Amino acid sequence: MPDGAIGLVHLLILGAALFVIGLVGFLVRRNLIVMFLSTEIMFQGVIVTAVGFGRFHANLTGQAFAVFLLVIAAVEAALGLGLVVLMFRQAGTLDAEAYRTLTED
Amino acid sequence: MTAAAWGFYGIVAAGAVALWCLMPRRGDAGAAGRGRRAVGTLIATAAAAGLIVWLLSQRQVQALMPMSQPVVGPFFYLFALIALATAVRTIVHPRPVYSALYFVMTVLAIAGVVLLANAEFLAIALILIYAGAIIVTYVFVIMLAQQARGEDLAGSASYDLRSRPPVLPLLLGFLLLASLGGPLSDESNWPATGPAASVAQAPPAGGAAAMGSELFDQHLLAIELAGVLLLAAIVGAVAVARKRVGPADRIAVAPSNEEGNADA
Repeated sequence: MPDGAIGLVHLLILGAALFVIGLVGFLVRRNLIVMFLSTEIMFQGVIVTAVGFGRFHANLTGQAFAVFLLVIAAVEAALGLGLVVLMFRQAGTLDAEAYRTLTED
Repeated sequence: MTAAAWGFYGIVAAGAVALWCLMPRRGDAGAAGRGRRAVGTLIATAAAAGLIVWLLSQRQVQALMPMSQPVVGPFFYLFALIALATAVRTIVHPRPVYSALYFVMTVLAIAGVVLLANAEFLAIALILIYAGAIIVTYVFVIMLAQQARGEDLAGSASYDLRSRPPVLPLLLGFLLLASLGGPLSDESNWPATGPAASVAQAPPAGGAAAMGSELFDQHLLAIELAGVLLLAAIVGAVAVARKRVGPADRIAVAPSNEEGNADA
């Protein structure tokens, strides 16, 4: 096949890079909302990977999987952000490190 | 260990260094902070260019998006670059609203990539659900939970201006991405022919009709379970949102670490 054509490896690298960027953002940022946004970036990486594999195997399973990922992302955003708003109303901060007092130690 | 793998490790390392430079931390407003961010942007640009060259050099057993459609290749690289750059901006921007808006751009670019892979329904669903619904939820929550502030960053909360120490997460991300991408670049790890070599001439089109029959023929139980999950989420979100918060409900939290500890 000719050089420069787009193959599976291109989609896999793009998906993995997006996932890792989201992972780093989740671990490094302290704002709860930005941490949730980082998980959404990770979802985007997984969607690219699923679509790439589905294209590689020439069926629609990967795309169907990505549709269910959308469902999970919507559920996660609705519930997670509801909890973030509740925590903000109760504690007055979005700093993830401020909630370390909630651990049992 | 091939040269391609070493090249990829170098690109990922450069990306990690760029992220280290770009993460918000104490002293960002000064000249040193501006210089560090400029260096980070430079390294990130170099890493992106290196990634394009590296991807262009990859030979694949099976082209997913053949060059018979001449616009596909350049558009893939364009969308991939936009997606990666805006994803980085999402995680390094000190203002959550801008993070959310940059993430919209990421979603649009990913929708373009997905469209190039013949997944039309998924591309439209991404734009409608992600860029249209989920991000609106985020922006509403940011509006509810963050006070409006002036143009400069002086009024921003310390947890936005100073990140956690980025070294260990970046090391983790480097190891993960390097261990994923290194083996992928080795041709001996790939089968001689792709599983779909015989049907590569007629890739499945992911239009709404095809996706509908795929979902309801092959994944009927999962569709029903997804509906139950969405219902449970609605009920749960309503239950969470209806809770009244009085003075007795205040929870004590640790004081915010104003100094930040991003010097590590």
